[in-house]
Amino acid sequence: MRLLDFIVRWSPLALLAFAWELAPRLGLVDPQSLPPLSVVLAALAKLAADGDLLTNGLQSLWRLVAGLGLAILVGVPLGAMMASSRIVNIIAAPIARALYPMPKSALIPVLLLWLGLGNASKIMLIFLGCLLPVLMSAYNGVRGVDRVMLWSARSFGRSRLDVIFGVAIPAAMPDLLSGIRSALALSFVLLVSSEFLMARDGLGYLISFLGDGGAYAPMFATVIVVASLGFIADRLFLGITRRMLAWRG
Amino acid sequence: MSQIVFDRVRHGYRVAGKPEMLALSDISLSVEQGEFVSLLGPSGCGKSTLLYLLGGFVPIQSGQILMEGRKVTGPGPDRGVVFQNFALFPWKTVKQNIAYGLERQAMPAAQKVEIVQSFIDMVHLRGFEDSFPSQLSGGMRQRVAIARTLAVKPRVLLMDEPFGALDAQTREIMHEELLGIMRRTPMTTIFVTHDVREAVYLSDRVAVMSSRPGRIKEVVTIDLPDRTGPAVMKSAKASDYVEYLWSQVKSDAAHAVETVR
Repeated sequence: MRLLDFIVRWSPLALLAFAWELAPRLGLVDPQSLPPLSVVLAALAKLAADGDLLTNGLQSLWRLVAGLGLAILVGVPLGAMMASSRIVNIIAAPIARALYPMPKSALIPVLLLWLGLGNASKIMLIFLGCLLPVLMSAYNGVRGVDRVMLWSARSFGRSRLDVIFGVAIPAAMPDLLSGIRSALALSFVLLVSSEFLMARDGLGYLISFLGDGGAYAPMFATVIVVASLGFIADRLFLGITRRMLAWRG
Repeated sequence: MSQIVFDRVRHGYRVAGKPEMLALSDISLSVEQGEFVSLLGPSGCGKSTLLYLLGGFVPIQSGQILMEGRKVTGPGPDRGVVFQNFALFPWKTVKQNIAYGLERQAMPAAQKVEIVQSFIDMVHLRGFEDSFPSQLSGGMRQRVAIARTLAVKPRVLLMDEPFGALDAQTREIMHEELLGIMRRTPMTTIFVTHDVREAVYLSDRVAVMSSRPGRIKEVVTIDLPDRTGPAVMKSAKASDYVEYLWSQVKSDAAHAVETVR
């Protein structure tokens, strides 16, 4: 029964794959602009065997992890401090509010100018893009923590800072994790689009390089890889979330 | 000198565009070492606010509160607090919750483990050490909160309607538990409640409060024989106390309803 469930649940995806294979073969679409799935998969195998996928993939993953990791490292404490301290809030809130709606991809040319084609420009872009969603979720999460819980912690003689990190942030974890999840999705968008425009390696670079050279089958193969990585990362993150929030019962 | 002294404490709330509302007006009260004193009154009389002021959670606007001769300026481990909604840390297990207050104390880890276990035993939660609060009943959660507070050996215990969120039967069981704990380890306790019977059953003295503005109307000394079971509440003396206190609270509650209308 579980197998049947599995088949039923994923059958729309299988149908899509089937349509992808048939449409170019039946001449419904130009096989040049959409090669059949089997051709794309063959190209994928070749890219993997050549090692192009691994080197570019690792490069991209490193940028993603570094950028998102930095955003969490800075955004969580800063958001929590904003929620707990009037002074920090007065200083930081107007800046956060003004930058929040700004499309971070607009910074790509600036970062290229300042940081060049290396890792730093991509990591910085992902960091800046993810910082605000993470910071906002920490801010809102900590603001929503029951003040009596914080009082209770204070009455055990703990300092304000100790209560923020030891009680307020763990208590805000459900909000925080959902904020980090949307930042994770955003980090893929920023990664690939920045690699299109300012890189000499990485999966985004590989996609644009192959596309510019008219190698459409391997280009589609790389797109599939990026999509799969995004999907796997989200699933992994959901698994971690479930584990971390097991206490909710 | 008394262990706790409220000295002409006054507290107002300000809502934008409205005149200041006086929540507490000139509260003076002294509590001796080892006494169990209830603050009894209808909701809105400021009894919880008074407790929060003593706890150091809310800044004192006027007057002063002395704890063993020192002015209260903020929260501290000398005043252990138990809240109505338990205020447990939901991501920590029973054991970890009770250990929270000991974490920063300088003592060997083995000794901390021993203390935590002894308090788990005291509140009869053996077997639930590794449960999360979400897996416990309301009564069990409040036992964890009480154990967590007592584990750091506070000088006084502040309880804010600790059994108000529990059903009637659980509440009675918790009364016995609390009296048992008090017999074994006597401790000065300030107990906020709106339940007249509860106040009579547990207290040495009951401070009756009235609302708008909150003030202490009368302090009644409860002189009941040894409280070893709920049977004492069936005595004529206990009934008299309940009836008298109820009439005092009721007149004020009725008045409060009139004012709201």
